[in-house]
Amino acid sequence: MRFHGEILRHALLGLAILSPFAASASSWQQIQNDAKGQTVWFNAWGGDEAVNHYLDWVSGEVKRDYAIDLRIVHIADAADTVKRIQTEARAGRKTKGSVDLLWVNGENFRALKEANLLQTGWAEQLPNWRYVDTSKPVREDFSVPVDGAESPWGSAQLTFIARQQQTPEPSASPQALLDYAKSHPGTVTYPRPPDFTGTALLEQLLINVTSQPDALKQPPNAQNFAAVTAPLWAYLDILHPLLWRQGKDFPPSTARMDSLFTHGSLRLSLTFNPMHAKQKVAKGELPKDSYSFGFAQGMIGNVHFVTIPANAAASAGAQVVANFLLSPTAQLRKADPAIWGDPSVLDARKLTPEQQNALQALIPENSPPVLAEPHAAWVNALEQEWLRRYGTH
Amino acid sequence: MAAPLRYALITLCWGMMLIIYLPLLPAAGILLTPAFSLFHWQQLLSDPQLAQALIATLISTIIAVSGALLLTLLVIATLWPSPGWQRLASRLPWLLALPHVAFATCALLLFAEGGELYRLLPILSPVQDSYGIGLGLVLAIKESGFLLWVCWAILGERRLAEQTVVFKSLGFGRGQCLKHVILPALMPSLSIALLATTAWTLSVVDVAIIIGPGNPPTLAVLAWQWLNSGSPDDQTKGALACLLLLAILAALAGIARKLWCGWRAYSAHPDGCRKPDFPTVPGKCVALMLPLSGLICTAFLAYLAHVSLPATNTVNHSLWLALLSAGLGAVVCLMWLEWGPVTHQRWVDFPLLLPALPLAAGQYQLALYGWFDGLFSTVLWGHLLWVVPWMLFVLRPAWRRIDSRQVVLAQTLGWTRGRIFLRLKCPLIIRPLLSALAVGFSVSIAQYLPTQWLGGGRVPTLTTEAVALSSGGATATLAAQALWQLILPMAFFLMTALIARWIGHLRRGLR
Repeated sequence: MRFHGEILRHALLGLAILSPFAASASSWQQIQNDAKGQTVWFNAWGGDEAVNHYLDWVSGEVKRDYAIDLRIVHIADAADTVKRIQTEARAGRKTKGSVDLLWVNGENFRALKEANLLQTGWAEQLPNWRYVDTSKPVREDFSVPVDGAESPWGSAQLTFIARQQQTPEPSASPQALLDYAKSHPGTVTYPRPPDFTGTALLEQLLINVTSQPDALKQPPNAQNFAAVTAPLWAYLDILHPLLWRQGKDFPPSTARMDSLFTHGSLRLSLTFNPMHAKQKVAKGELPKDSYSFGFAQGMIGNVHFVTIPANAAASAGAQVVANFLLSPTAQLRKADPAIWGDPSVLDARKLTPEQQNALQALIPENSPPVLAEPHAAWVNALEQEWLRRYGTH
Repeated sequence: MAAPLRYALITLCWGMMLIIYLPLLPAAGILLTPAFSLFHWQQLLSDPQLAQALIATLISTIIAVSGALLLTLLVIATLWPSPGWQRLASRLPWLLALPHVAFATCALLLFAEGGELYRLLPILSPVQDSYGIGLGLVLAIKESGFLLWVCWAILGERRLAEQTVVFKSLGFGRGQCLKHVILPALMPSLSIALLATTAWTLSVVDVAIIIGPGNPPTLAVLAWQWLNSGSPDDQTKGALACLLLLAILAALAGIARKLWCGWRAYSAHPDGCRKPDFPTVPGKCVALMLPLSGLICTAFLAYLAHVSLPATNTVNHSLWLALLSAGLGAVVCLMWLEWGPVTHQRWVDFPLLLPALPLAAGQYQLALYGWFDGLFSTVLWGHLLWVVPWMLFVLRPAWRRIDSRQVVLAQTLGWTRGRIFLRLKCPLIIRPLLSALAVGFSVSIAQYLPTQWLGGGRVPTLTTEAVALSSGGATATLAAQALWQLILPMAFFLMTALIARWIGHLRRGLR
């Protein structure tokens, strides 16, 4: 037996040299060793008790399993932390930065990445990357290549909320939404751009009504912008007089829409989290018969990530935490609306049968297909044009 | 006092002020750099939202500041000096300690579309408010509490009360008394409070999002949106909008000064004509309603809140930061008044008038260069930049009004400067000092940006947690956070008010 063991060990050694997987396994071991005893400062949006409780649970887990002291910094807006990291860079702070891990996506990621303020090439080396659903936009964040600079954490999709009692039949297309607004004038609206959910609805409608959907994959240019967006403005010109306050005023956020929806002033609310309705109904913050829906053609969705700044003091610890956040246990717990209700980024087919079942049970039924976001440059272009046309009373 | 010791003290107090105010230099750089880009100015001025946002900003600010001043003067004319005035002073903390955001949220939940009033009486459906009138009214009520508190500190003196009694006994009415006796004495000290209130109202973001106009929002909200945008052009536009707000502040201050001087020149002396008293009912009602509105808000918040206990370390951090910065602030302020320059240094007031973001960024830059970021003591240093000017602003008028004859008298008795400072001046301004401590305490409690930046998130306080949690917009969470945030300042305000009353009983001249 001893002989066999010897052979096996040699064989394994040979494999270790040959296979890149084994090489990364040993370097991962090294990272885990480095991470032991580190304090990781994780800056995460703290606007929801459910999120904060979930992160408290994560802190306990990584303390027990990896001896990492994970501290959560609750922030109001990732843009604040981005500014802080930029200030650190301006002051020449190349090491021992104040942030080890940051919850981020979209514009904030782009700002950091373009200024070379992030560590790259680590995300796909995480052992739990093998579970990730790569059909989701995890390698591009609003069309900006990720390059392993951030690790996917959860996904989101633009979703409408309505009440069974008021709206038994959801609107399945922009035209149906228009008809709905016509038959119930003054009870539909959307958050004022540049609120990101409001902008997302503009992008959604643009994808649905434009005659040149291919143009959205490229940044807009002066020649085609008017032609591509003309159907959108035509649609909004008809829709706006039918909206809440005749489209002369818009709520500042989805939270305000939720409260107008709960009080009965609105018949529809909007969210970027498909589980939002379930979660808020469970907490008693939305009416009991609230349900989610989207257009039959699909609704735009995106992925949110965690990233490690280039000057992080505890990079190894941050990677171990990011890896834990991707683990099936952590992802399943996160997807549970009773805990948080943030959809997973894992591919169910890559999990064990029990995990598969658990994940399937958490995915809302008949959820619409996910449409990719237009190129990031459209966000600003659409917002500017919207503000020019409708941004005054 | 021996001369060398005096020089040492002068050096010490300049040194302390310079350490606290040093971040103004990098902040000025951050604030002024974008101003030289003509392209960005054009971009800002050609923005379609600018005109309407500017109008809403001006209307809401003018309503808020003049409304607050009007309410304050009405109450003073009616109640001061009387036991009712003292009662009001001890009840004011109910309104003062309430965070602005909490007050605005209550107003929204009560009066806005879908609010409680609307559900009870659907006829009272609010019209769309595109000009920030509602924002102005809410802030007028909230800020009148602050102005009354400031006036309480200024009007604590016995001599002015005696003058008022004499003036009234000559048959002049309340309005005339206000015009000819109280206002001339009050205005020089009150003007900086009005300036600070105006600066704050012009640049307020969170309250304006809650109850301000929506399409377009006020200029401060637009500036905040631009500053938070990913595009560098938009960020520059936001910085320029901040400068524009400062320019508006300067213009408003200039106009108000001209009006005041003109009015003083026009009606310098009473003409001998006795005008009848105006009725006391409105003033008394306002005096009753102001603290009551704070109380109602607190009760309403308690009813809405899903209360969960905050983490112990956040309470500890908040409490210690506030106590230490108020204590240190008091020492720095008293030393600055006694051994600092005799003339009023304008730069001392800058933190009250400038936007917080460049100041916090300037502080953070210095902390990074010195490698002392992320420490409790650094956060404390950061808070002092706002605590000291606020405390000075409460203390300075009282300090100025110390009777110089008493000082001369003490000198002829052979008292040293140190003894005069400790045994004569400090007891004379004990009431404004308590008031300043309370203000310093609550200013420190309210700091968000410097705490989060200088602490790098290592020093969580009630406010950093509250701001983060409130960003989700859930009413129950917001209410609970507001309650926690108001408990410490309210306790401190009540404590200082009680101590002040107790001292008033011991010293007749301060009653």
